[in-house]
Amino acid sequence: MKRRNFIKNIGQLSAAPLVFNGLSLNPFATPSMLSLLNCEGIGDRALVVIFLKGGNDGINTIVPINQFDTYVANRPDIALPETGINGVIPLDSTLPIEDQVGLHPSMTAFKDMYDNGKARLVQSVGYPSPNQSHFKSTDLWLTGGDGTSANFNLDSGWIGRYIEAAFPGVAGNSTTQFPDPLGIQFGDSKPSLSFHDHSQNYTGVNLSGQNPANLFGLLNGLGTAPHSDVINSEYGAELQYIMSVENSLNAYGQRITDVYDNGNNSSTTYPDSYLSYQLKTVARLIKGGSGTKIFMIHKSGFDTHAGQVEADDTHTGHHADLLADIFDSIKAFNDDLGVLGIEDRVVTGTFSEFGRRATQNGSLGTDHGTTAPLFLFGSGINAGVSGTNPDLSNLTSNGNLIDGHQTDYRSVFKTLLQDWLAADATVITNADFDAHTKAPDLIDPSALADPSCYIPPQAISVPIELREFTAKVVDENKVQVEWSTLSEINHDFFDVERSADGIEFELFETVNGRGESTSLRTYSLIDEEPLEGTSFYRLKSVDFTEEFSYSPIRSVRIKEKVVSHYKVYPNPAVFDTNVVLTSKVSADAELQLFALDGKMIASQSLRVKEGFNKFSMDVSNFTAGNYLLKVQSADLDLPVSKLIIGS
Amino acid sequence: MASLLAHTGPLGTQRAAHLLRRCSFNISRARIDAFALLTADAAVEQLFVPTNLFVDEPICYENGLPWINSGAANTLSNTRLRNYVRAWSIDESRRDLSIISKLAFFLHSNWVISADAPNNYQLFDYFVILRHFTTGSFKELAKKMTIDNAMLDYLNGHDNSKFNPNENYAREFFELFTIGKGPQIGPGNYTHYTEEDIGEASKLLSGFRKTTRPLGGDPQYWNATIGAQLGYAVYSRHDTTDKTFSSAFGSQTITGAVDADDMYRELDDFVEMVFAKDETAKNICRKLYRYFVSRNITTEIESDIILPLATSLKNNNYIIGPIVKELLKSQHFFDEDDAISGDELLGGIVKSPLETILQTMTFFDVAVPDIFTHTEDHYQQWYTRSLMNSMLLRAGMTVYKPDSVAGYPAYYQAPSFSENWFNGSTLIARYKFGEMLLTGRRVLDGGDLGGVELDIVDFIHNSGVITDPSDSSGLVNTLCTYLFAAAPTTDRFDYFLNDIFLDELSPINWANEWSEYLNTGTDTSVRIALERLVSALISSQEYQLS
Repeated sequence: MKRRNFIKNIGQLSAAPLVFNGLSLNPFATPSMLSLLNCEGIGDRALVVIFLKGGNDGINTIVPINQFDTYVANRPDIALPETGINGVIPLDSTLPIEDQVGLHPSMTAFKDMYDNGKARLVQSVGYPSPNQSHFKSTDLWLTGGDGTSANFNLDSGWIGRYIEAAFPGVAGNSTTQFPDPLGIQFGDSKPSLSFHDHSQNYTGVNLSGQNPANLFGLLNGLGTAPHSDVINSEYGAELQYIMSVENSLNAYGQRITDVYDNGNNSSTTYPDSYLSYQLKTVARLIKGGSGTKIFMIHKSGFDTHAGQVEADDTHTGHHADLLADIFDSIKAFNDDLGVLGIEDRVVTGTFSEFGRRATQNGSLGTDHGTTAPLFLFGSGINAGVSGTNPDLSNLTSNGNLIDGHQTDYRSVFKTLLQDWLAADATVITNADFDAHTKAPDLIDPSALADPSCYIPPQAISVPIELREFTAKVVDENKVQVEWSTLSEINHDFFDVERSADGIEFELFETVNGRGESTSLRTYSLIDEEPLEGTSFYRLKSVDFTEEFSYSPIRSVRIKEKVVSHYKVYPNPAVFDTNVVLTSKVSADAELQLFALDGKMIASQSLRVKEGFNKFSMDVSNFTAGNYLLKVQSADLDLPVSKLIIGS
Repeated sequence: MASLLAHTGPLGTQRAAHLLRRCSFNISRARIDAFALLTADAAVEQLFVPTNLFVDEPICYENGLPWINSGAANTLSNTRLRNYVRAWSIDESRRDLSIISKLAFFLHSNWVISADAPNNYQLFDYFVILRHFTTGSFKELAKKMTIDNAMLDYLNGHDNSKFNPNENYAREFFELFTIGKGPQIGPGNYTHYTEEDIGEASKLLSGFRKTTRPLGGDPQYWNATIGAQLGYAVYSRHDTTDKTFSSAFGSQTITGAVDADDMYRELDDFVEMVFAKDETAKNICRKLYRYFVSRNITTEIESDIILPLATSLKNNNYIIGPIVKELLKSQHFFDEDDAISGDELLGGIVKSPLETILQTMTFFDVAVPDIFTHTEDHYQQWYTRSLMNSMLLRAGMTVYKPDSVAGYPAYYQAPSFSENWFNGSTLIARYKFGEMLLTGRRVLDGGDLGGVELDIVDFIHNSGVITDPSDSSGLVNTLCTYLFAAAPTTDRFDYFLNDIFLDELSPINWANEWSEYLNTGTDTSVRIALERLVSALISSQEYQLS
């Protein structure tokens, strides 16, 4: 059985064939054009972002040492002890006293990483006109918006815009240079708004709940073929959307499984939690050679309106468990990366949609607030503290901090994109980050991406910009393949490839490209002898450096010839003439002889059986001349033959 | 111009199927055929005739008795019982031929709680209240939901007191449940309400408490009209000051209550104040529109559809039934109010996993384990373990416990809305639904479906849905007609017929196979082909859409 499923049909779009044909020396190394610029390793860097959903209580996470009495007065039932075995952990006594903080006692892992130069605390992160709705504030953080009307309803996300700007045309199309998805989401089956680009395409791959180890196995054989065309309607647009999800998952499915299989974790013990599992998977993917730039991880449960601490035992309870999970997991992740030898490739950061009030509510909890601390981790991070403690005595009537944000969250993201992932000025502009300044001192000076290492978008060379590629049946049994390019750069030739099953493609014809072109170029060729039934065409565009990319696959359907080897002989005939044919089906038919004026002058019934058939007709009684012979059948489609009867 | 004028003339098959897919979890060829002969008016009226509940309350498999309002106590854990209450609601939705269950789900997606929060009796009451108000007044529902035990628990209303106001419920009441958030026009000012309004509302709502809900209910807190138990007012916890709201509400002051009974008056005054705003009616109508029609609310839709409906809704005491009827009967709903019919709306929504599974099961007449004779399989193995905790969960739907108070992203998350149901994380599970039903197994995590299984040969042979099963083209055409929102293109039809179903053999071959099956009773060969077809149809791009 030949199942034609989307996975098989589009699967070959990925760079996998290159890898498996052994053309690449190390199939799992991300080819880095940055090496040309002597910026070794920067192209292999990744950013892991952990979203703490619900609004983390920053004030019980990072307690201002210099305002401890005010803190306790604001929060008599939930304040942490100042001293003792269960008291807050003083972070850094070398800081000025007004900047000194006490960590929640669950944060021993953070303290450890900080002391080892691998963690940074950024105080009071937020945005202008804070919004206290979970949903709106989440949308703002994910889109790069704020509470002002100009930035309140952005449709695209900051990660999506970065991916779009830094890797134009790459998202969803696995290529030789970028075989991996540029963004991967874990821990939330809802596609994060952050990955939406300007056109509202989701630029990541959502692997929530999926096991990368068997992803490809599950995809294999699933679903139905892509539509060759869809009608121009909302229904058609939704079909396109669904196919784009299939396409992207499919393009990357094999690669993700391969990378995962190729990677491993060290013997580092991770805590037993969902967050920890997600991070462990990320470590393994990166070790396996993943070139994914941004991983988005989710951890929920921070909306602590009630019961965030155990009464009279405030260092324990729900919030303590959440914090222990975060920092223990991140530390395990970083330790694992260290043992695996890839610690210098990964920076991890956390954020939450808002902090909580400075004052408690009556339910051993806290209500929605505004700013909150943000944490960064990794050997590439400049350990330390940004900013100072917010003033816990300067509050609104409902207990919110009057002090606004000290650091705009977009400044943090911008800094990570520029100083860590080496986004250049154009990328920053196109990703709509120009309005924000960089936050100082986040990245360790030794790990700062050199400005000359910024990835220029045009360096992502695609040999051609394909405008369209079509295959359609013409003249009933021929296939016309047409395509056009908007531009061609350094482009050598096209291979038009053909396949009977959508899996194994073979070269059909090679067509020379234009080398360099910036105007519309059209190409066309005819397949005079196409395969019967459904067949598939694709275009392989090869540039002068032998880099190549594939077009989408198009399918056409040629009506199958039920009858082959149809022949009438002898012709001219004197006594008998024979009709031979090989049929795929059995059918009732009639052998008909016509005069040239179309009048039937003889006929005989036939039973065509599957396989080879031979029928004879006695023509010795007809006068010599030209006749027409036809095998007439509802199930067979046979041409009329000219028959000459001799004397 | 978008038009609420009624669609006239018989609906025909495609429009009948559109109406049913959008309004019912229960689809069948017979129902579509019957609606095809009706006008939009007659069909929609029929959808509003309530179906009686199959069982008024869930049954316990330990003793075969109902356990909520009658029957006997049992020893099952609260967690299990909550799951069985959810199962009960889903099973009634599956059986429901009316629009009521679809509307109840809409109300749930608006008045969100999580089934994790309350105990099983309180969860049951929550469903009873929603069902009671499905075609009734959204405003009255707002008053009852505020003091629903499950809601008091979920959004900390229970904890909200004059000593320590907890604003969780008040905030979501404005933002998510009623008037909705407008543009932020100043610090803490969301146009339609302000942070100060949230604070005042929190005070006003302080002192309402959960009540203990035993088997059979506590008569003291019982609401006989609805048939459910509610929370109660505790005056000593109530903030008795007068509450003054912002200019968004005309700076209205609501006088503080003088005793516990008067707290209900205060609640009434508050709800009336919010529902006196046009924006509240508009927000509800936009939600209904997105739920039943489309995510695209253009300025034209806003002025031609939303505004007239909102005016009717507000003028009619927020009774939902009539405006939903008007919307569903309209030319607009069938996309026949502009120059090009059928290029919008039809097939433009991604189905929820719950809709997908229930509509598949009812269309193919797949039975669930009998409630009375296979009670444990019904509630535990099928509904809890298989449907909710495996199939729906893996498809991204934690039914009746969405992961936030905003509900299911398909109904609120702009700009993608229903596309949120379909992504790299949910695709595999959705595409495996067919295989699971055909094999009776949870193919992604092991285990059986408690006896739920689609015998496709039996269905094709005996259901009457396929007139002549030996006609391969007719068979595929019939299934595509009733399962898809629009007819497939010739190429696509060829694909399903030849590549998938016939496996590139001839139609004659299929006819022979079928007659072989009829003569010998051996179904091996026809089963392979039919399972291949149905599996493909259910995992097709077309089938994801409604």
